[in-house]
Amino acid sequence: MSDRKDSFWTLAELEEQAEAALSDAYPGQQNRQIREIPNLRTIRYYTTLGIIDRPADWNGRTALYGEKHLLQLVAIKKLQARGKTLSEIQEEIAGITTRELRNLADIPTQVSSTAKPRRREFWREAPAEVTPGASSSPALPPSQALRAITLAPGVTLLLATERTPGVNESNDIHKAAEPLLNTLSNLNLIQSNNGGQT
Amino acid sequence: MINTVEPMGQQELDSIQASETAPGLKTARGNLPLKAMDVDAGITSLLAQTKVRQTFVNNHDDPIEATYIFPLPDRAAVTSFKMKAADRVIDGQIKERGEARRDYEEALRTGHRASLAEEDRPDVFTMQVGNIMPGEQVEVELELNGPLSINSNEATYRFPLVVAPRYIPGERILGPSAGDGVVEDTKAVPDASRITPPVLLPGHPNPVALSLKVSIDPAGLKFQNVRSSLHTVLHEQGEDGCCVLNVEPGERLNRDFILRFDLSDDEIQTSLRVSEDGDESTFLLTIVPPSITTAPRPRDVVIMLDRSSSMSGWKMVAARRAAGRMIDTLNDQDRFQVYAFDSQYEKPTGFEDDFIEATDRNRFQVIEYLSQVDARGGTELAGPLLAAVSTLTEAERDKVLVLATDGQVGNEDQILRSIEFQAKQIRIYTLGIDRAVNQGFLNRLASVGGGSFEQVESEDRLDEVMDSFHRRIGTPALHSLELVDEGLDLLEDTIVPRRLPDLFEGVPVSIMGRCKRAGTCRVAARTASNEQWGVSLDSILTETSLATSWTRGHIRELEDSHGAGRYELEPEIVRVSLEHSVLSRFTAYVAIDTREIVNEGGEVEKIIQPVEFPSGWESPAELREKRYANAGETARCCSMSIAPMAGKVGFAVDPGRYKARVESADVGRHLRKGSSFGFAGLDLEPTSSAGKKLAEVWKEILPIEEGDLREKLARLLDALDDFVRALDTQGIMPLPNILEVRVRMLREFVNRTEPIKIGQASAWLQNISLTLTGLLPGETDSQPTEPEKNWWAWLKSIPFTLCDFG
Repeated sequence: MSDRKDSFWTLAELEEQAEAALSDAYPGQQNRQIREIPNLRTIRYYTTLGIIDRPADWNGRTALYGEKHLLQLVAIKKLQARGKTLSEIQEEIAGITTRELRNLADIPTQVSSTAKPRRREFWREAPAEVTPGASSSPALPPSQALRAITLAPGVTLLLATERTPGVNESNDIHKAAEPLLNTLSNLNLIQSNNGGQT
Repeated sequence: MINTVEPMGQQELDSIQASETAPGLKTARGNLPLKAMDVDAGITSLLAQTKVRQTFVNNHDDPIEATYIFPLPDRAAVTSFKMKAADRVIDGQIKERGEARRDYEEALRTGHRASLAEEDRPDVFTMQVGNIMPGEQVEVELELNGPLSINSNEATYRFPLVVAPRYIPGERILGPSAGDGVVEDTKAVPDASRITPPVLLPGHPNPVALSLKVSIDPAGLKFQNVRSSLHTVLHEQGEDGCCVLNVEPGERLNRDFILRFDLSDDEIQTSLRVSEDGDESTFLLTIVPPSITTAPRPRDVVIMLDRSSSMSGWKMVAARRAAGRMIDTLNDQDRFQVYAFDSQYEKPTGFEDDFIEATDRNRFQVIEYLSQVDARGGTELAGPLLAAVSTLTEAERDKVLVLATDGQVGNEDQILRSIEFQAKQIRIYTLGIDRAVNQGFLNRLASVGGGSFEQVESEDRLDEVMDSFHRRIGTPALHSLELVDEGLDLLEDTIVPRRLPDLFEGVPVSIMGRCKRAGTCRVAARTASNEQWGVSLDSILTETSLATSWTRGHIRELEDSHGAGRYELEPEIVRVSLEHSVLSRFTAYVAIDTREIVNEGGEVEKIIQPVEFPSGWESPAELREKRYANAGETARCCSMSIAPMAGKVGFAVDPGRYKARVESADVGRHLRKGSSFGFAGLDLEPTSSAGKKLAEVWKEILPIEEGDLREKLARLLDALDDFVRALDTQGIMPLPNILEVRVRMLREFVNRTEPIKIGQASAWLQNISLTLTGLLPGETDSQPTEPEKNWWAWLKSIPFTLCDFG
């Protein structure tokens, strides 16, 4: 797993890596707590607590993670499996060095503590202009009738047309949409149909 | 000799009990680098000189670089910096910021111990100490001085001890980030990652030993009733009759230290003091406004009430009370408006359109409205503030804006820049309701707005502040203040504050500036009835140098102008900063131990010091809601399909997919509108029957056609009422809250007399159906639980979610 120095993982991939690492370490580990997939919000919360670094990079809106994150996640899960509270986990993990983290996680990685590049002269940067805020006063949304075709769970095609597509037309559209759905699935923007999730 | 010990408040007793029962006291070493913080302040004639010493240690096996994000008083000038390592003291140098950073990085690379102090906000600083070797200890010391804040005859010394979590709006910036904090930089806050340290969970053993001492020199200062607001202090009699106060050991760095004392009446008098420093002189003009009885002018008062989630608990209660008391002091000729803001803003129900006449009845109704304003959501201040100041334009009236908030935002520059122009036409007051308030921001806002800032750190303090606050939002005794030079030779563009404030009875003001020599200055102004008023003052030479205080004030004004878009001021800020050795946003202090290479190769582990969770804040779970409400980050991406159904109008809403999900434990209290929620232990039955009825009515009223629109909407209203009540009994309030607001607005709409158009009715149905869709749980990365599935299936069975075809 450590030969991917140049590439990063999405959250789901990071989770798979962590699961794999843990099942190596604890064969047959069935603890529900550590099997639970952390969602983005949980990971962000861990970041505010200083126990998981901010994402290594971003691909659009998808956060990408690296080996250091894997170590942190595995360490957290191991401590959770020992019944530690989040506060106790923070006490053990916040402010430790990479070497100590590696000992705690105890999985083979090649993570080094190379410093990240920093943005230069940020203090000269001006903030963006303010866009007038949304009031919750009774501003009625404009209404427009659209045709909707659900391509897959979570993916809906909206057409600004008066005409409802027929059954055959609908099939054609679904067929044409397949490459797009595959791409979305590969990008992890939708759940794949053939069961990629744990 | 110990004279008195102030009793501990309940808050303090609780905190001690909490720390005694806290688990994990076993960590002998601790991982965190900051071990001690020593604050030593000396107060002489209304100026405070403070030494701050931070002690860092390395308990690890590798060399480290420690980063600590910390606050200092916003009016204070940082004038000196020292580093002590291996029994050597190295004096820091102030340099242009980029240059200082390069020097620091180079020193680290070559293996020298080095440290760097930078200003990221007028009151938020970053300390970096690099190449601390295993087992080593490095101390850094900052010296600052600044004026006490004076209100009426009360002086305040405040020393902040924690940078509280702040709301960071805006879209993420791509590429490398500016700092080591926990929030990504955004276009609204390009340095968000520099002001957002990680936060310790309550129960963490106190990692930093705090000592805080204040001595007040009685020579030249008559004072009494010294009191500390949030800390237990030991009073002692020091040398030379100094009054010495020590904070009890063991305190955490989780709230401001606030010391107040009363000055005797003759302590502050209208005067002009001048100190000579080299070729130029600095003057301090103090004006105690005369007592002039004036007929009050009619006012337009806008009250902005922060209801973001960080306000939860006593802060929200205090903010509501403050708003209520202000409204109570208005009279029939005044008009007012309230903006309650979080991620959105709203005005009191039924008064959305214009200013509200301050009649008895209206005031009562608005105060009723206030009572239901609770905390939720993010702190989107810029939009409503801009909207509010834009309404204050009536020339014939006094225009006043009062902002009640904790000020916990990161986009200060953005906000100030957006309202800079309008702020000059009105008066802005800020009430900072927090124990770790963002005073830097609220002071800036009040200064630009020609008003004043007050900190409210407790409900008791609120009462004290409100007792005199009505005078400040009243008619000024004097306005249109002018300084007429009669021999001082004032230097252009050196007056601090730039905007000379209006004068109110009982509120003395200080104005500083630079001049060529001691001389005479005349202060001219106009009374409320537009008569001339003036006083001529001869300068008194003073030994105490005023130059540093002025420099900081001057730099602050320049920084504010820069923040407001005058980017050409940067060289001037650097020049003044370097000339007077006062830290600014464009300079930094750097100290390098050049005599020794300790870490060949310069490889270090970067460790950022997590900070305390602020005292008086509800719970860290709020952090999840507040700080990551970044637009585009957790924003729901709810795909919605709209299709014609059963004739003319119908809606089909795909539940959509959104990753964000509040933990199950957050059900109830932490629910937010627009966020999805967990369902542990939710009983669907009572909701179901009301829901079934709603579903039936919804079916029956479709299609909507001309003619019976009002009757159909009224039927829907009844069903919605029951539904909201059912949700209410389930304790899942915040979501129904927004539904409730919409339903209330729908009722007002239906009750109007003018005919309803079919487009309006269908827009309302869409509006309501969208709100109902907000009740749908979000699809998450994990498998939905049984109750989640049931709830979802049930909501989908309502027709507005039925028409899902393809």
